[in-house]
Amino acid sequence: MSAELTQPVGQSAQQQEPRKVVPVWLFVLLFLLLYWSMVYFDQRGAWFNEQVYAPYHSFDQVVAFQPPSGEADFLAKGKQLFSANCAVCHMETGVGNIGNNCPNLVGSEWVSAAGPGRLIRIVSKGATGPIEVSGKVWSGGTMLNIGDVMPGDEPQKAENIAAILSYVRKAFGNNAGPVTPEEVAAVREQIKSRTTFYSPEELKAAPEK
Amino acid sequence: MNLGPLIFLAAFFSLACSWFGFVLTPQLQIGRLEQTNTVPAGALYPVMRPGLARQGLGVYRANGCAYCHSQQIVQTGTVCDVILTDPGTNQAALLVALRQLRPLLSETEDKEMMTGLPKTVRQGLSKEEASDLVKTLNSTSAKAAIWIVPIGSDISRGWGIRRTVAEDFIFDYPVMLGSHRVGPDLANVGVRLSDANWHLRHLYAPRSEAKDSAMPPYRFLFEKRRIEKTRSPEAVVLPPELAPEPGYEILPKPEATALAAYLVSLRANEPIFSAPVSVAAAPLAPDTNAPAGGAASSTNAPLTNAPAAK
Repeated sequence: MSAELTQPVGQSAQQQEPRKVVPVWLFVLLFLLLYWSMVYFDQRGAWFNEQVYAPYHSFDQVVAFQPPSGEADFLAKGKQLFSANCAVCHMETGVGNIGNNCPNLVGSEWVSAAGPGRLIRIVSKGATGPIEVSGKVWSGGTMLNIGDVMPGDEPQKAENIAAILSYVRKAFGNNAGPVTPEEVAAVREQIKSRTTFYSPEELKAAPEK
Repeated sequence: MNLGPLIFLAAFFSLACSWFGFVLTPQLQIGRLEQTNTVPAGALYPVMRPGLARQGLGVYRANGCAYCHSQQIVQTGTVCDVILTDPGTNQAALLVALRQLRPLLSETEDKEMMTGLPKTVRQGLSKEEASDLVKTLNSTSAKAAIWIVPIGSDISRGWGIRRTVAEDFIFDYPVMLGSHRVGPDLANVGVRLSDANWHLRHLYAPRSEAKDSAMPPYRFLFEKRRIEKTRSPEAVVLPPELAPEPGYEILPKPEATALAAYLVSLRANEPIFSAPVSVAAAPLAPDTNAPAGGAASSTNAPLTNAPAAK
């Protein structure tokens, strides 16, 4: 075995190789790359928001591309909410239920009133006491404050109530004007401190509009 | 030199990094997804698949369908169309606006535009361009609306109307995303082919339904039985060259029925917040208890805002 082979290779290489300084431009490039990647992530990564998928870059962009809601969509939403919240007593067809003294919505003068003022009060705070609807007195029934206990924050509640009322005023052969979320929000602002159910007399004293 | 602790730490660090990136972060991000609502109709989405379809997911998995079929729609962008829904009262002004918009078209074509609404005025605009155009048209007392249109090669193939998102799969375990596309994507196959009998025929003999199909026949999901008295109503109706000899019939086994039910239940096309798309709203169903008279029919007229056929 020759002497060259037994000599440790690494040691001699270490001794012969002069130390080299890493060029400064490499650090600058690294820093620029890091900076660019952070800016890219900030602009297009949406900070790992679970509701943002490609091709959208940010939550705001997803919000901007939401399809605008037409009148038909609003009524469809009202129908959905009516089925979930109201139909258990008023029935899907709006005929009411004699069994638990729940008045009809079909052809009801309360529903087809000139403005939704009283309806918003009933749905928001509830109503109890004998009430005359379509010439028949319904007594012993109580409507709960469904509008207040609905899930969601105040603007969502106003929108949901407006959708339900718009649907009720258009469906079942009724033909009254739609209800806007702004109208609902305005009335709910006036009655927000109330905690008791309305009586029919109080409702009649409230403005229709 | 004892490098044991160093190697241990290095290995631990690498594994911890990948666990953090591949397990923990996705879990924090989409691990607690719940049912959402369709936008803007507000119906619950997604709903649990029917029981038979959930069994079918197991059959889909067991037969390796996911090796050749994906269930994910890719979307490369979103554009806006502008649709005209109502000409309004000042039609002369609307005509002027339309002529400025489309100077190359004749006046008759613009007048045609205003009949038989809703119609698409412009396609493929950015969100800002579309909002400006809607403002211009609405200033003439007409009613125009923005129509959200996802685009991408999968969507132009007709495989779906929007991209698939994690919410679409929250009731599926395991999620059969698939990665290869020897066959077409199946994320919306229940929309395209909603007949379970079609799927049974296709599973028994793919080329009876799709010419030149590369799919192998799954005949072991069916059984050949002698007809005792009358033909079973569940028997697969086959073309003459594939039908068994007289006196016999082909019946789907429970696995085939479940798989067909699962395929029919694949419908990831509802518009939801994270994958917005415009779809025609369903008009209110006519009420059956409406008082007699003309009032009901006029109130429940379809209020659709769908664009006309392009």
